[in-house]
Amino acid sequence: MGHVIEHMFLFLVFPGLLFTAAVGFLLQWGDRRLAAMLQWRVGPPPAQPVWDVAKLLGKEVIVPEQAWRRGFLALPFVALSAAALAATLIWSAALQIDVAPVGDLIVVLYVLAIPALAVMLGAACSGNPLGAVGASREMKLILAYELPFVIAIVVAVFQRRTLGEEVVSASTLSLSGLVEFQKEVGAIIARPSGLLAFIVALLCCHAKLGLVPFDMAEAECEIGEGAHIEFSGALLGLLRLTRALLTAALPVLLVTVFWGGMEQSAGGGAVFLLKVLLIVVIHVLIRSTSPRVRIDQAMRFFWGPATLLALIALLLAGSGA
Amino acid sequence: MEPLLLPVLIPGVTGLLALALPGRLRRLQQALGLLGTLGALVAAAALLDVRAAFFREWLRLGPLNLDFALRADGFSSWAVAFVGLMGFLVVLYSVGWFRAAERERGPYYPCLLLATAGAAGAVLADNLLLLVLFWELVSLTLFLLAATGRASGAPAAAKAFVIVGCGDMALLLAVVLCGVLHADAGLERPLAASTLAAHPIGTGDGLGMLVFLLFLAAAAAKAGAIPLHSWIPTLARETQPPVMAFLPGALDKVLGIYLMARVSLEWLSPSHALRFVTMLIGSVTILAAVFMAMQQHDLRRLLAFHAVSQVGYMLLGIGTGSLVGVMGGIFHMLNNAIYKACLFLCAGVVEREAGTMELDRLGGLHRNLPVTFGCMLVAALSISGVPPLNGFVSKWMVYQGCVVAGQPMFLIVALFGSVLTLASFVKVLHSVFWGARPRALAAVNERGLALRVPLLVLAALCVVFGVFATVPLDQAIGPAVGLEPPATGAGSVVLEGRLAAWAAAPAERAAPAASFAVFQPLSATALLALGVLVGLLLAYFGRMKVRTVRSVFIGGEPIDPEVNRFPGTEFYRTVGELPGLGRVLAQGEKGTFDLYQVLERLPLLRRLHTGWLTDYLFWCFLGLTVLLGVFFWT
Repeated sequence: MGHVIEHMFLFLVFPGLLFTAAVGFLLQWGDRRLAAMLQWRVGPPPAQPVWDVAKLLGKEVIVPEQAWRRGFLALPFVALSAAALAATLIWSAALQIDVAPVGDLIVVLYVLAIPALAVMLGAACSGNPLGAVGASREMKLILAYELPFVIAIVVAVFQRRTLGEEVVSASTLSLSGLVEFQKEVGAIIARPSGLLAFIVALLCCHAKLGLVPFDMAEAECEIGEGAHIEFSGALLGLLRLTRALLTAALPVLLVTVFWGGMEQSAGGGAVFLLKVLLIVVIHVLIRSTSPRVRIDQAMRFFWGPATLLALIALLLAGSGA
Repeated sequence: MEPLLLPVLIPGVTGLLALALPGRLRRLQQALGLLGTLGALVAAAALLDVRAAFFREWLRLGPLNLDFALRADGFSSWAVAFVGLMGFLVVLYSVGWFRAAERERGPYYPCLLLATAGAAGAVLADNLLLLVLFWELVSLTLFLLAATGRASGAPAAAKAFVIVGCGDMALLLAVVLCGVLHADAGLERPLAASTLAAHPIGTGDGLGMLVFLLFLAAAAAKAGAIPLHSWIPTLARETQPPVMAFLPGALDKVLGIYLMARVSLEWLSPSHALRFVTMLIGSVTILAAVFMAMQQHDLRRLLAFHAVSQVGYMLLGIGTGSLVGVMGGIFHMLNNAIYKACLFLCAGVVEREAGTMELDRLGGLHRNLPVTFGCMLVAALSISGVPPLNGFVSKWMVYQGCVVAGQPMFLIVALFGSVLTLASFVKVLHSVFWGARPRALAAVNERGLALRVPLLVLAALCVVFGVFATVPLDQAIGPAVGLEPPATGAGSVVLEGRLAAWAAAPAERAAPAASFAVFQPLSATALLALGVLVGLLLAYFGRMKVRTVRSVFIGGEPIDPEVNRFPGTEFYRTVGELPGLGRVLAQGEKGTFDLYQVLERLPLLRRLHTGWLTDYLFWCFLGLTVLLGVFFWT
């Protein structure tokens, strides 16, 4: 029974839903503030992301008659729940919380895909053709970035190090296993293969978050928010909350897999925070300095140069570099 | 009566009985079909905990023995029960599916019954020649079902028969080679499966390697792995949906993968290189078939390509040679049978009620066919590997197998193939059940309990085998690879990574000893449900207001569903237009990579196939003469 309550606490409060949402809102505020500074604006006050969501949660939800009503209403809840589960798993591994884990890296990757899937299904079942266009773009974007992303993750999983006489390999799909491995032999990002893979994974996370230049699925001026077009009120609020969770979870995933998670020492927390912030700053810089690309351009980019880079990283990892 | 014989005898006898009945007595045939498959299911279920063997000496062919030997170990008894269940569900569905306008043609129920008997016999057979006999019975019934199903079915049936027949020939060769090798080693009863299991053939030399490759070809042709897959998409267009659902459920996948599992676990000890070949075929199958599936606009063909693609995961898992991978491959076979059958049966309902399978002409049917829609949604998410459904668990195990086997490329292919599968099914769901409904389909609705019950059972199994995956894993799959079922309440050793013998000792030390990957399906599901529940409570207490509006608006105007639509065929046009890949896919659609079509164009083969029965008889006679000559000469 203690186990169940522990898991529930992890999931709902720390480091799951509540905690990740708080961090996500803070990061979103930082993101918006930094982007504003880059564009010579003032930017919003710290609590603005919270107010945005809170306001939406109080508004009326409108469902089109053609929509699959039950699914349309339920899918945003599923998205939020899956994002919270992914966040719990990622943060637990990063902070090395000692508890029987529910899933490993594969589970995290799959659960991370559920929010995007829920939005897509929601858009497709809304009956709005522009929603379907958005869903189609979102799915193609997922297809595009998952290939290099998966290769980059596999580079981390198949890291090998020579320690004196002995060859040590990570060879595990367990997140905490990867953290342990890096504790023993140093961060994966410190090697050429790891660095390349990290860069590719970072770009993929950029697309996973739907940030410019990869926001074609919800291009507001072309297809009227696309995948989000029919979502309103509380449902839209839930989707915003989901995005806040992902904003806080994805950089931590990158730090955990490639950069050793959080060290259990004095100052470890600060270093960890700096790593996460650095990733967020890179996201902001990319998104505030580039225009939106077309979906075919995005696919060509991810299946072309990005995949090539990831494959080079894989080759390097195979040769132990 | 020997209980071991019942799962074979009951459908066999009822099948022969139904064959003797005149076709006019349709109701009686249906009743016999239901009774026969239900009997097989009950008889097989009674076998679940039985570990027994049945043996009658039958024939001796030189050094080889053909005995009527059946054996129920953990693996085969579960496989038989599964065959029985699928057979029953498909027959039940057929009773609801066929109607006066399009009724069963040819010996439909007798064929289903005999196929069930053949599959059950092949799985239980403890003698390899007996296995070949039952295997042939399945091939024959498959041909009859396909050839008599639709007026245009004959070429597709011929194609299926040629490819599967080549596989069967490979199987016969492999079996005889096995027997000869063992007879040369001076073993008594060289073709008994137990003899083979006790003395697995090494694959270090050329002959052992040949035996393995022949077995692999037989399994690949039956299960439909690339390059011997092309009969499945062709057949899917020309045969009735219940038959297509029966294929993965009871015939091709189960038999092919069952054989492959037995071969690589017990009968032979495949070398590293041969395992690699198996994995390679598996990954090529996953990727090529799923890309083809994405580009399909006909629901049947689309599903058929996915049926091919999923075989790749099974071969990949079995090829890894690690315990978790092999178990994942076998588990994936069961899971695939469940969701694939469900998908084909759902597609059958759509075809029956809407009269078309063209994705372009379907749409918005979620309100007309609610049960079908719900079941198809579950099955589609399951085949895409969305946790916590069953497809995810077995894929997860295959991934672990790839890591243990140290194969990064195959892991990447498997993971990416899963994303492509998801993409394909998002398109299917959108273009069949959502989107704009053509006016012609306004009156469509689903009728009949016999159609809906099989769908619901299969969809429920998708969820149960996912959330409670530990039960089939510990009770059915574990014994298949020689694991003892754990004490109740101990939890699955596989999913919790507590399996000591996950892999043969790796050459390198995996860094942290305690870092085996873990997946707890029950906890994950509970947490996901908890999240949704908390959200719903918030919505309830926050007084979430919901209002339904009449129509969807675009640019301030209500849309016209006939004009403003985004058909599913547009979904992945971008992929088909990519440079390079697009051209390859177009060639694939034309059949450039279809071995059957390529061989068909060879002048020599064309000249040999005159279509005259006398010519074929001449060839048979010639072959027999040569064989007899060799026989007497040696």
